[in-house]
Amino acid sequence: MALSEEAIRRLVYQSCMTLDVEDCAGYLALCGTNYRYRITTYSPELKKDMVWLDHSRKDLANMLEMVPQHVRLPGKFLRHATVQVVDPGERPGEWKVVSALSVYYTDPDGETRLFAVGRYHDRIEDTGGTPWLAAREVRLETRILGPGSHLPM
Amino acid sequence: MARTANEWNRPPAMPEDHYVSSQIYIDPELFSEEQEKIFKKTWKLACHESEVPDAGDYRTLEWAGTPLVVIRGNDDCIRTFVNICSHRSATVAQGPSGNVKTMVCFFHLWEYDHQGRCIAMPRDEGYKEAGPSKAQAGLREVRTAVKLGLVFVNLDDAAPDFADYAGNTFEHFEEVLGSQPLEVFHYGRVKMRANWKQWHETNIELYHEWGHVVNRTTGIRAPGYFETGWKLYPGGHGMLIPKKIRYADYKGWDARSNQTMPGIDPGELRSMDLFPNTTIIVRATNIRIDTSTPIGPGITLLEQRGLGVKGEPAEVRTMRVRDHNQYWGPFGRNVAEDVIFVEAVERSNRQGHPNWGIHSRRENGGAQDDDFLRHYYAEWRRRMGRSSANPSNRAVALAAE
Ligand code: FES
Ligand SMILES: [Fe+2]
Repeated sequence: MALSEEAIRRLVYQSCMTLDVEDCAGYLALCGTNYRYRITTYSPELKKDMVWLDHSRKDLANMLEMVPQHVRLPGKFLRHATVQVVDPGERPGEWKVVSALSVYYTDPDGETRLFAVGRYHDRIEDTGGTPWLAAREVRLETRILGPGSHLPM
Repeated sequence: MARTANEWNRPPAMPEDHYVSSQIYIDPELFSEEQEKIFKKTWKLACHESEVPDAGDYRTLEWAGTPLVVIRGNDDCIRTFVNICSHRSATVAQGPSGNVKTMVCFFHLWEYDHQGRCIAMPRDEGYKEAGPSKAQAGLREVRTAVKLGLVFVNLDDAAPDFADYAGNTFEHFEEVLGSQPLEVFHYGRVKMRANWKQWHETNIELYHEWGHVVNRTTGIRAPGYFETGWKLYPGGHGMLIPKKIRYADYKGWDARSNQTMPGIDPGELRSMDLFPNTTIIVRATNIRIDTSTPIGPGITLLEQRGLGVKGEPAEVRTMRVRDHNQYWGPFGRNVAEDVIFVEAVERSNRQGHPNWGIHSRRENGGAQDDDFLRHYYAEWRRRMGRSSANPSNRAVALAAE
């Protein structure tokens, strides 16, 4: 159990680090074939949940492939996650993992600001030692995101 | 050839309505004047009626420095009030939204009904001698017009009615906005370092589409793109004559040929702009509505809404939300780029260089003509009583030095 939890933590952190360096192949390698990636938030204005991205692995791969062609913020994002909950999932080999997330943006001059905070709600599967991401919901608290981002959080 | 300082500082050699001075984006005095002459006198989009579906539902906003509350009454009528208590100015309706039987100020509990009448003051005998009476203590009502589900407000009690203000600008939007009840599924805000007019410019000129990879791929290359342009309406309003977009030409996207919004053809793009800052864009399966709250000359709070059809099946809604998010929302492919564009312009303008924005394209009123920009600024000049090329004569003074 301890070893597996350690592996789960490493997986969450690798998912941040691969995106930070825009290693999209490296990120997708951490995700299962049926991966579902969502960004959601609650709107107190509408009194409703909002979905800001909802992608299958294939959608995500297509989206990531096009990212370099877009006009983007010239600096770097740094995703900081802290795994807070690792619970067994509904089936054996499945885990529900919740992490606190903060994303920082550093502009080319070296000035850093907080870009967004929220939580990862992950479903992680692990049938034989190396866990993978089966689903991730990025639940944002921050709703005013400046220019936003072409890359997932 | 590169230009000398003198050449650079000289106003462009073209008609005055073919360029604007950067001063109009950065000058604090002009901004205050815009508050008085434009924001406080024109119709502002406050919300969509679906945001206040039931009696007692309210939404709050701030416009031209004035806090407002839009509330649906027991009589189903949507009204707007200045969200300031008549007693000692506390905020009456709290938070961005809510539902109340009556509006009770949380400070000393003066109470107002949905019509803005003051209906209770604790121990009101204390006001018997000197007043005010409840009849004298109602909230300040703000003019409200609901057009095709869109709730507009106007701070000027003497301004022309909304119908006169908008004229025929909605003529090609009656069906898409009005034939079925719609619902807001996305509400997002962007606080940007840019002037409010700069954002609106991105909605009324199409040639910055060259800067968006999505629009280059799916729009500019689509057959017939250059043939249709803008239709202009009195008052600085206008409409993009509908176009076919090839959405499937962007990797991983589909053609948007099913479940289009009412009256909209597969793959169609239709948009309209109401002076000074309301834009409605239909991209086949979903609608985006922009409005902004100018905070300072170089700071703008943009509000964006995404709309679908109320009560539609979950899988249709999911498709609309997906299509909406492909372009728009904080993780869309386009909005981020527009914010980056306008912030780059503002960074240059901020320094007060005597720069000009060139609006001189003439393409027979075609897609990438600047005629809508010129039309928009003609209305700005009319309302401000100033030249947009030389609003304070300072630019000319600098150039002459
Ligand atoms: S300020 Fe509202 S009741 Fe006193
Ligand atoms: Fe744009």
